Amino acid sequence: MSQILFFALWVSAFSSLLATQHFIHQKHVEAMKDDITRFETEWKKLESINAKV
Amino acid sequence: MNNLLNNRGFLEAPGFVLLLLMAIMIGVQAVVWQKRLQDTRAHHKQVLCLKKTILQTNQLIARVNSVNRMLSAGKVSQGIALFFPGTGWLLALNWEKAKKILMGLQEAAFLNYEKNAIQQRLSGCQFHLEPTLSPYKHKLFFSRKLDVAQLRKNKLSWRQVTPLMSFNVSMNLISPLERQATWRIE
Repeated sequence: MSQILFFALWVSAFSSLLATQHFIHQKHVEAMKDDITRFETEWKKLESINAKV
Repeated sequence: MNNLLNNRGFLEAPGFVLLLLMAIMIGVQAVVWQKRLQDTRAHHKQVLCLKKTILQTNQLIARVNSVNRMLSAGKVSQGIALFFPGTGWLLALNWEKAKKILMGLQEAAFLNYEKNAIQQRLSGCQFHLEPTLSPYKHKLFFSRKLDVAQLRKNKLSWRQVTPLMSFNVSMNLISPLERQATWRIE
């Protein structure tokens, strides 16, 4: 029983670390996507102005 | 072996070290990703700055070119008007005033371009073009002396460096009179 508890303790410890890692990864990907959409809108805006010149 | 495994706390020290290492690795990963994000943002910013610079330079060229066309058309029509006494001569005399206004418009376009260039520089853009593209000699305050070397200049190139990329940008005016620019980014 104690061995099972011990194993559960390890699993919980590592899973929290993995969850943190996954959270950071998700945040990073979201920020990247946000940046890219902002960049594309700015680029299109400049393109449309440039087409008028 | 069985004795060793039954020993209380036999995994505590290495386990703690392992957890610590993983925590450090995650911290490093977070820092690296943050750095990467900053680099990407700086890259996007510089690319947009370059795009804006090209746009503003094209605008300047278009404006100056249109005023040049007006000036040449006016010169021709003034010459024709000289053959018609009366209204024609009046028109010919007023042409000098109109020419001054048109030249003022041209100068305003150059000044606006310089203002935009300085604004871009202040907002953190790497701006390698000369902020004073005007054909007037700079460092000569309160005087409008044409700089012939500046007028003849029809090629500009620089290296645009961002944290992620670096590329050559070159602008080529087809002829100093036509003032139509071709841009190459490679």
